[in-house]
Amino acid sequence: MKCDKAKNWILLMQSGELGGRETGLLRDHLAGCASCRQFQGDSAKLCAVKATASPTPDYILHAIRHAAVQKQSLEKEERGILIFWRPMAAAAAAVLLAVLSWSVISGRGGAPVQLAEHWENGIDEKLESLEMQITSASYELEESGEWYEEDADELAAQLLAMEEST
Amino acid sequence: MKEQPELEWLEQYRQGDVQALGLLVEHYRRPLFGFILRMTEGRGDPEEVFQEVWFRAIRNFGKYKPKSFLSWLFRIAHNLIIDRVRSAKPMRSLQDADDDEMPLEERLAGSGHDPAKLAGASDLGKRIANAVSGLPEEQREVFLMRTEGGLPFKEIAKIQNISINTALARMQYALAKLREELKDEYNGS
Repeated sequence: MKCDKAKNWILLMQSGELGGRETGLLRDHLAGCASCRQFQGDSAKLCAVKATASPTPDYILHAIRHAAVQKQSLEKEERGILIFWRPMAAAAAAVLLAVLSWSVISGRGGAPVQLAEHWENGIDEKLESLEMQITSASYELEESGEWYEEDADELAAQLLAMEEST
Repeated sequence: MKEQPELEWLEQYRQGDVQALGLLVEHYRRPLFGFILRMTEGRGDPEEVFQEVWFRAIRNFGKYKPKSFLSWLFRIAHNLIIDRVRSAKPMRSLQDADDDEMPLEERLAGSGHDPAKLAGASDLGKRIANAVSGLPEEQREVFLMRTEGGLPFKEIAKIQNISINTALARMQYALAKLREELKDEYNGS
């Protein structure tokens, strides 16, 4: 076994991630390799020193608890909204389904057909009114164009007269 | 104590017992705070990061899959610290800038985070703490996740999104550098 691999295995053994068979092979290697034994000792020594964290200040614990309480009340509120709206939505869907089923079963096409006719009539009316508006607008445009042309002619005549006089 | 006490506390918290959250915070305080403390050296307030980790945890308790709660907390801390580095928020005041000439040890002592206290108050601990702060970011993180959190390399690799061999290599580099920094200590002993 090469020392690089052995060192990886030493680290894995120390973290409890090395299998039994590999541990046996590693022990064999360690028995004959002073450099890897040295690495094993150093690693154990360096990893043993931990930071000594001071107790968490009260204000942090307080802030964390406060956030937790807020989260919980928000969740309760959301649950409450769902509890209220779910049956309402279900009831509305059931009514809609019943109306559609009735119109299909009765074979009259009922409400949806009437709605479609109404919709189409509405569209036609809108289109007609838009056409009227466009036509009247184009008339207005033409008239104003003529007016502008007359205006321009008059101004040109004035300009010519001024040039001649100078 | 049960193997995964957090599951019971989480359940109690879900049922509205906020005190259970206090137990959870206290149980994981030492490894988590130790990690954050040494990862954020010179880059902000570890207490603020610690608090933010828990805020994020609280918001995402629903997403936690019962494996290792500590690994999950470390993953949140890792992401949070990366976010802070990316947003380049060193959080240093003008007063801090004047302290640049001071040795790190003194600066940390001045900030209330004495390396000696951080590392068990022994001289070796103090020197190791100082040497660790000089490691490159990725190596330092692997070293601290292993030593402070006791996380297995498999988990560390997942958190850093690298292969287990890369995590092991980073640990080896970190140990080699620390060994080099502390050679006097080793030769003397």
